[in-house]
Amino acid sequence: MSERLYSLLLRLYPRAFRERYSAEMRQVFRDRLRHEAPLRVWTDVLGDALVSIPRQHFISGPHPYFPPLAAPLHAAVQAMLIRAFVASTICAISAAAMSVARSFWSVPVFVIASGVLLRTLWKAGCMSRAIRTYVAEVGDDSVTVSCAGLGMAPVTLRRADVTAVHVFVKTGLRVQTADPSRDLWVPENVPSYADLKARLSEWAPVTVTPWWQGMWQPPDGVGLAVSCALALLLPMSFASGYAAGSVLVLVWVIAQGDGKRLLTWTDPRSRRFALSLLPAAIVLVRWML
Amino acid sequence: MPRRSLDPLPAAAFHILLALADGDKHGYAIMREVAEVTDNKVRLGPGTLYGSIQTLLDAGYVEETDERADPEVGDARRRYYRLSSVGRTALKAEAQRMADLVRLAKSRKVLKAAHV
Repeated sequence: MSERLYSLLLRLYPRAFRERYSAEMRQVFRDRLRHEAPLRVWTDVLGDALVSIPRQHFISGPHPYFPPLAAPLHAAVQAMLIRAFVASTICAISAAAMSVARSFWSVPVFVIASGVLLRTLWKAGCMSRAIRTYVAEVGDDSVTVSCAGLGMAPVTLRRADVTAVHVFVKTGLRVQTADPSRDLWVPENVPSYADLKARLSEWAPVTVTPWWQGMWQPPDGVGLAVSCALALLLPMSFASGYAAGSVLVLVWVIAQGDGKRLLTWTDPRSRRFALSLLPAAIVLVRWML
Repeated sequence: MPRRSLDPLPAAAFHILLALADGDKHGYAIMREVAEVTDNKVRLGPGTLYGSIQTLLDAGYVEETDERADPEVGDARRRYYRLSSVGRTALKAEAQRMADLVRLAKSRKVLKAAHV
């Protein structure tokens, strides 16, 4: 029973962390139960969970533009501001345009509520906590990227490792390798960025992505639950505006390159994309009733 | 994704490296050792322990090993961790940093010699 409860607690950790460590953590839990009083074990485990679960979510949150290595401050702030501006503008305009904003106060409600739906976008700002100084060394057959002062081993990729290069305009580039865990992110303000890009383009095909593509991330479980609760509980005039705003955002997403892939169900985010229509469906049902 | 900084070493990471300094260990053994050497003042919870191990693995400070250092508790399901040479260097540097701080505290009479 105790272990079953602990398994439920483990489900609160991010999926990647859980898949990697849950078996070991359960084993440790069993070991401790054999040697220590259950009350003490549970006190420790719950206290630790309160700290480590949010920390792991912060560490392993989705950062489509800032994968393996941390991004520089200006790119992170720029991305955060752009995304916050786009999300807020869309929500505010949609609320006003639908004329369901019967009072001035409903507009910020739409903006805040849609902000919850789009909250994964905010995580771009968290990167400012992980500022590092990047150094890139470009060789004839290899490139090495390291974070000066971090004490981490430099990442070296050879010509044979590189399968594709994705350039994100005004942000940086991502070097794709056969092993996804070795993919390398290089921010644009690295001193030798131009040399690096030129060398990589000799090794593998380059795709260039405009900055506005791929900005949308589907809401996670909590975001979706909050959105559904809002759709269910808000007064109808607010809820319909909120739903309209959400649908507009999703339509905008579909119009982007990423959205097309979502609709063909070939993207792992497709299911969550469909689920994010749930709040709008709830409002529709309320309206029909 | 953002990674935790290891410069300076967080306390949990330092204790884990210290526990691995005298041989390979699995998670529970590390947890037990840290509690023992600190008289239960530092108790690593499982989330903190494996979160720190993940960070140390990413940084190359520790590595997984298939060898079973302790045959009594040797279990195919357990993963054992080993201090790498990079990790040993970082551990030494952090211990030296702490020793310097202690020396400084002694010179300012914050610590008496008996406490050190």
